[in-house]
Amino acid sequence: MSAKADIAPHPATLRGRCEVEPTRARYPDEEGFVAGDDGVRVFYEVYGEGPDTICLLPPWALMSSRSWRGQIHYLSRHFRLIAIDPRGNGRSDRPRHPAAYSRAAHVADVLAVLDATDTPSAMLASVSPRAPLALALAVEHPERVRAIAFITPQLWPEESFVREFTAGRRERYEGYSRFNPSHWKRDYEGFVRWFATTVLPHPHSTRQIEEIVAHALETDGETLIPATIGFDMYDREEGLALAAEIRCPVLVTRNGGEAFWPKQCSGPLAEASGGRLHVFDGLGPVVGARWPVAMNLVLREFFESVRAGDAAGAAARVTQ
Amino acid sequence: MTAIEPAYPIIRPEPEPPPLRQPEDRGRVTVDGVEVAYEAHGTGTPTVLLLPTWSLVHSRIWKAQLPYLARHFRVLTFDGRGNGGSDRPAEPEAYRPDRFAADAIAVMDATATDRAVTVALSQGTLWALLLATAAPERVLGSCFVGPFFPVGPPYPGFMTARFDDPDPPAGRWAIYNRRRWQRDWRAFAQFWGELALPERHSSRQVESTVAYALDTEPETIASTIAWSLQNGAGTLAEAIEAGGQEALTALAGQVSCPVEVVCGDRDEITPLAWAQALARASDGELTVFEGYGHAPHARHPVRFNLLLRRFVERCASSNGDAAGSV
Repeated sequence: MSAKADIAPHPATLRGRCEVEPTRARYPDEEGFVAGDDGVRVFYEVYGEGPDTICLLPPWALMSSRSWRGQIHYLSRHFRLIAIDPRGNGRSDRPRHPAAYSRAAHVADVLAVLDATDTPSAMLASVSPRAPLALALAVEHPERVRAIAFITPQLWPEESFVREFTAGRRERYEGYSRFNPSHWKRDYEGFVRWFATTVLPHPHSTRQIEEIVAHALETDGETLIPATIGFDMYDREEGLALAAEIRCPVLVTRNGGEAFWPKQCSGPLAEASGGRLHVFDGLGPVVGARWPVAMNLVLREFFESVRAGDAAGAAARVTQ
Repeated sequence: MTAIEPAYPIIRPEPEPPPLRQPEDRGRVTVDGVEVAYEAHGTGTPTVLLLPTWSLVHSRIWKAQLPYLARHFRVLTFDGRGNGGSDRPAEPEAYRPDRFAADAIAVMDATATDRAVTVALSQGTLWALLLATAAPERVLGSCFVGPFFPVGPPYPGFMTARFDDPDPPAGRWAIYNRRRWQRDWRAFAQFWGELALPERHSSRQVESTVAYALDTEPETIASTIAWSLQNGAGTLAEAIEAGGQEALTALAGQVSCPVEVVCGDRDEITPLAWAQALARASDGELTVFEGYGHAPHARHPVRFNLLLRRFVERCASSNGDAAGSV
């Protein structure tokens, strides 16, 4: 089935900027669209310049690349940086068929953006349920991936999430039972407001809560459902086995405060991939938006160690 | 967009985090038997003196200015008598504006500071004006933020509140009252913080205001009001109208150093009209922070710090000094 028929430019793509963010600390130096074989256009931005590129992978379609805004202006002072809007939100197209949201489609999007921006290889950063995207890129296209920072990774679906998501229609939805397609169809905004306030329970989070709600309302339940169903995560065994094949440097971060999901795969992923595990003591669930300094310092240190390590490796090769 | 009420239990607020920066020097000076605590940060030139404001709060109000300014200048702060690390005299006489000005001179003397650019918030305006006119050789320039310069109506509600009435009339300003403070000091601090910070997402600064107010006692702060209300005045407006307004304007006219006035146009404590009057009277520059309330330095620190730095550098160069880090 062709997904082209049901792609129409979303009003957000025409508007360009979300009103909740009247100005930015830093604007992109370059922006553009790539279009895959299925015709879905994906939006990207490039900040800064230089030989070392960080690619901030698209998050779950509930949010756009603006969810990285706490990181973009700082990291782009020290690296070239690419940010990509996910299919389903931001300025990317919003197809309605689950097939358009497969992991393979996302992998193709990232490669297309790297090609369009003349980026031979990049250091990747992923968030939560889009960790499988980073893993797939590293394993299927290792020559394009210099390093990975897995932020609060979810490689396989949480049991509690699956249970709620497949529970069928309910009388009422509260708490985690809101992770339900019927609820998203009937009361998407209710879901969004619950999610934003639950993922940011700390005081003085009103700005971040407002932004999550505003960005989530740039899409809708009818788009989020296929975007969630269509993205194939790994199962535990497969994911960890593939993680063991990663050869590049890996950082895994975990929040040390309130956990949004009871179990996370951070520890097993760090171990399997030979990566370093960093725990943000007392912080979370969302560290990058609510404690951006803490996140930025950890990411910068990791990416600079990759840059230094690569340089040392290159120098060693020259002297051999 | 409409405000969002959290649906999830809020995690218990943390106490005020520790300062980002330790001072290079700290000490105490005594003026008329009252000990005042000061700190010195940075090693640059010239010196910037961040004055205390109403003793409801203390020198931590400048926490968003300190680390940045200390990279470029030497910065002095001290806790106003009545809060922080300074003594809390009980008698109203101890809270005369000229006492706070004397404390400032004593701190400058103790730190071998010949001259400084002074920065004053709200009530600190009074002691900054006294410094600039009584000791002009010590003041390189004066910056006034949300200045308390009550030269005329319309008055914000606290100016017409009957502070000592045992049974004040019902309404929003009934809380500006000695009895009410004794009954529920935290409620007044919360009210005042919210009044000072009408901007959205100000919860952190409001919480800090409450924390600083809880570092002192309502009886002490009542003494700061009592001094203003002597001679039978029942409200601050009555107190100032007995010839005080002309004197205030004349005082501002005597300021000879460069002046910068900063004020939010949503300031409900010190209205923009007072800032405009101060700028006119002192021949100063006025910068309006549109959409901001009584604490633009706290709520938009980047814009404020950059503005202040430029002002300090102008004061230094117009005086023939080179500004910047040693």
